[in-house]
Amino acid sequence: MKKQSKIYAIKTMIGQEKQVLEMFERRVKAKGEPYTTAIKAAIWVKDVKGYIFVETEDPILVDELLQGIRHSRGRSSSFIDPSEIDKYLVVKPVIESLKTGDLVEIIGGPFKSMKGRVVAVDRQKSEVTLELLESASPFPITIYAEYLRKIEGGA
Amino acid sequence: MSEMACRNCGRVFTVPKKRLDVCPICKTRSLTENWSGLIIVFNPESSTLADKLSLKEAGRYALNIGR
Ligand SMILES: [Zn+2]
Repeated sequence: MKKQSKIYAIKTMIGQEKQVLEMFERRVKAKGEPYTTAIKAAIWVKDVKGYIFVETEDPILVDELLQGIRHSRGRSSSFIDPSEIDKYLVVKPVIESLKTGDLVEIIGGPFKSMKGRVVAVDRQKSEVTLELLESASPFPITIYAEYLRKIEGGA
Repeated sequence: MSEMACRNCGRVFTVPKKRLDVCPICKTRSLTENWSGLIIVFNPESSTLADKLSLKEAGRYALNIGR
């Protein structure tokens, strides 16, 4: 059976979160197995001061790697539920999740707050072509995917 | 050197300032210095965090990418 991984908070000096994360990353990569298997991911969230988070099935390996990392203050003993950091996780660029038929809202630019149906997606240019729902114009418009928020998936 | 994020695939990498405008991973031309938050995925197959973010490959990814 697969071991369950958990998410641990690592204390850092405030302002040094990214630096600690990157030093930790270098150490994991330098060690290779079994660290790169047991340690699933490490994360720095801009709005959380004085902590980074590490997801692992083996916290002892994490403790070992944290030894002597400058500005690290060690692992907190308790783990946190993944849903607690959900609110900080912004899903991948919108373009990745969009497909023809999706209903989207425009959240920036001149067409802001209008809704539309996706008729084409250009991943190379990160552009999406839409038919506006509330518009009298029959012509589709093309805008940057960053201006869009998906409301619901199409067929 | 400058740390850039790719708007298409979310990857973060370090490049000589203003030298590179194509993502070395997905080859699109949509890089930005305007990003924050960083996740390092070591083992995508069994990571809850990678799964939540639909990250299928190991690598370094930005959490927030500006336009
Ligand atoms: Zn890319």
